[in-house]
Amino acid sequence: MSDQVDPNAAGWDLQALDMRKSYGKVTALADATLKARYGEVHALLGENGAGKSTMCKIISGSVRPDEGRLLLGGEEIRTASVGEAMRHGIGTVFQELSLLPDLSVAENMFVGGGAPRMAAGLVDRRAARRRTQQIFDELGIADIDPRSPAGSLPLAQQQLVEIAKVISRRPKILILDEATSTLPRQDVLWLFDIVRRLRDEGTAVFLISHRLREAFELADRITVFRNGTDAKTGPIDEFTEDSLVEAMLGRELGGSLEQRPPEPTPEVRLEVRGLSAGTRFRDVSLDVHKGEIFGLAGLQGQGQTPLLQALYGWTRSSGEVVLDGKALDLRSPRQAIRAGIALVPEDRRTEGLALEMSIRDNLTLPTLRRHMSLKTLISPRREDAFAEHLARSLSVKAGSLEDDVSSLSGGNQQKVMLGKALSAGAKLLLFVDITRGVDVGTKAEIFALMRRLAGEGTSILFYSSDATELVSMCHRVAVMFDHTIATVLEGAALTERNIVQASVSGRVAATTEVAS
Amino acid sequence: MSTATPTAKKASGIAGSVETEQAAQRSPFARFTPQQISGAVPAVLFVVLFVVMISVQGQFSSSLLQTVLETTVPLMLVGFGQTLVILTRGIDLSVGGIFSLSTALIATKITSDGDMVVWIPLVILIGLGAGAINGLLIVRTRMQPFIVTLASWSVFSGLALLALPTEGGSVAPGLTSALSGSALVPKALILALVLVVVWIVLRRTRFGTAILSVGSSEAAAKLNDVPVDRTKIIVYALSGMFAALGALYYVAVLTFSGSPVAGDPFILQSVAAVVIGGTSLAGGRGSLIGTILGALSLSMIAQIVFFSGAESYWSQFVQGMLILGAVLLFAVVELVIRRRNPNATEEA
Repeated sequence: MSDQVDPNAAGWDLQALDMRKSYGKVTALADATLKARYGEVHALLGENGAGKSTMCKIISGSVRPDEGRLLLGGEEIRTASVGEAMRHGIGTVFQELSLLPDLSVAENMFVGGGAPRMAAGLVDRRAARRRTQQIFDELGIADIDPRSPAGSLPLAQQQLVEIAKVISRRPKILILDEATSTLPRQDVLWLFDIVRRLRDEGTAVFLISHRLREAFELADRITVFRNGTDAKTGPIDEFTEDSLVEAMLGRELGGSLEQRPPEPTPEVRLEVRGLSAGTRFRDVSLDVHKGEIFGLAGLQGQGQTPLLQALYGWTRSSGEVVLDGKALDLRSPRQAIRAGIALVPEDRRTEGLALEMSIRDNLTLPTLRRHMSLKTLISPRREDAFAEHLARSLSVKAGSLEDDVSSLSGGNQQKVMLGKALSAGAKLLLFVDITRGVDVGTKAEIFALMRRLAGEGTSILFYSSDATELVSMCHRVAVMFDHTIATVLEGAALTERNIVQASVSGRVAATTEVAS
Repeated sequence: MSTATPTAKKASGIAGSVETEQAAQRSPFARFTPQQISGAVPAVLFVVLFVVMISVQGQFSSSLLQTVLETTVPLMLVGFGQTLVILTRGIDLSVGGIFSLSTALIATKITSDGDMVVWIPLVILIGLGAGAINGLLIVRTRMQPFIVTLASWSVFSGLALLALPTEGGSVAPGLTSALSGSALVPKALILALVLVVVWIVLRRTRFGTAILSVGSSEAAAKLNDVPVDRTKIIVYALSGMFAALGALYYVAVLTFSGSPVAGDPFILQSVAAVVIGGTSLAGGRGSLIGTILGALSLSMIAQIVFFSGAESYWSQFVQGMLILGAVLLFAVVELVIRRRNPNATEEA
């Protein structure tokens, strides 16, 4: 659409022209064009549902466009399946991991072909394992056993396997669809090193990420998607962070990512004393005030998620938990919900939503009792009214509330999750890295909602892997290290730098430490 | 791609060592993979039942071994097909109908040795074709395998009644002598071993990986260029073929005549053998060797009940308890594995 100003407009190696794609009533792509060149990293940015993922899926062969042409080196090609795309040299690291959980890591590496074979044509497993180890060694991936089932690895390691699998096929065009969203920062830097090397060797790379910083670190060219079309495209130096965000939103952001939440009240809502759960976390003590947003930080796997799950009665633990002066014995989520605690999980697909049910049914599920006539039959009228009210207040973007929840974009699914938690009228909300993989616009909405809730007196325990948002959203942040709370940062000490430092060392040098 | 950044190595190193350290402390099963655990359970069960059987009977005889093996071969064969189907996260209820139809055809068409040349391949092909129809319907219409094969079970059972309205018919003596008895070792044992070898080879082919991939995650299989639809069709076709093979052995060695309802017990028995054998009904994980041990375990229970002089209905009761026990045990194993290998969803 807007490459006329580009001095190198000719000589594109890959062109996706005038792509259209609809899912039922929802238009994912309305006439979008994307062009790329070998030896360039091309970042695709945009809100959830803006169409960048759909565009990548079309190029990668996992989605068929309704209209549009795909040109590789000037010739029209068809990528009707992932395999066909692969044969054209297009390799994709998918957002939804494409690993087969029950197969071993080594089997996963070669499931699409290329497995070492013995004379009889049978897969040589030992050679496959050796080859896998060799690929891992070359890429600098440590501590992943090629024999372990892929599904048994933590998400971040699964992502590393997925990346290694695709790169080992030496694609000419590499698509990274949200490949960094599950990775800790160190691994992101590792991946970027590899991407730069591939680019220098002449690979064209598409990078989809919600982290603007990553685009500026790596990309040579940026295309911003909005409402299913390419809204703005050009070399990296034509953009600033502000102009990018504005292009993504089509309006000004209004600083809502940065705004501070209102101050909490002195009343203590949650007291935790000496809470432990085996080796997952130990001796955790903290206080959360009424109306406070209390952050949890630290490297992955330091017990943040199990801690929140323990407070939700989901993981067994020992220790004292007091909510509003009442000692709780949390043995099941049901008890937690009754006590006024709600948890929004990290993996909304498997833990929070009934994917095959409608948006409305998902929203009203936890509160069905309230929408009954004569206490037995569900009243559709009341249910509808309630669901519509919730959906509107959260601005869920959907064709109809009757649609399956699975038809929503990730950010909107997250909003439905939030709606469920809120509708039960919780006093204490537990957020497990809910902003991971969520676009700026939705993030701003979620943050606005968090501020509103905190202002109304709700307390929020907010675990996030993004230090920036913890600093801007939280009153205090506890950094977990070695499976316990190493330090609690607040006031002037609550900086991104201190969070990162405490995450890797367990302490903060030369600044005030305030224990709770 | 040669150099690695030290930071990346360190980063994965941190995550990795924490995980393994925790795993080592958390569970006594930590050293075993889920595959090893679900493989060990049917083996242990088999050994226990075998010992009980020998002690109930008072002595070990090769004729007992042969009896157990021969009565189990049809279930092993049907169970082979059922295992493949269940590994893709499907289920095949029509094996009963195909089995019955095959016995009816065998008992009416293969009555003299001369009929064998034409009709043995034909019966096998009919089984294959019947199964392929199941597969095509499941793939094209996207209907549930349970419903499709329930319906086609009824259709094939009807055809069986059409071919042979009541029990009867006979079988060519050549077929019986070819399959029964023992040369050096019982022929049934050789058959069982052949099945194991076929499985081991199959597991190492691209098709074998495709079966596990489809059952493990259909969406991910598609993204990996696995031919999902083709794999499913072939798996159901093979299940039909194995049902026909089972019927062939059943008529030739065990009953010498056909029955239009002979296959029905094999529907649930085959699923039971698969489940006891440690194959997950959720697909993606399991083994034919487990199914064979499961089938043998079910037969040995019948033998044990018989030798102990109890009424025969006890064997159904005990088999039922065994299935429940097995399912329960595997659920516990699954739980232990999940505790041990927490995903980011449980252990961020």
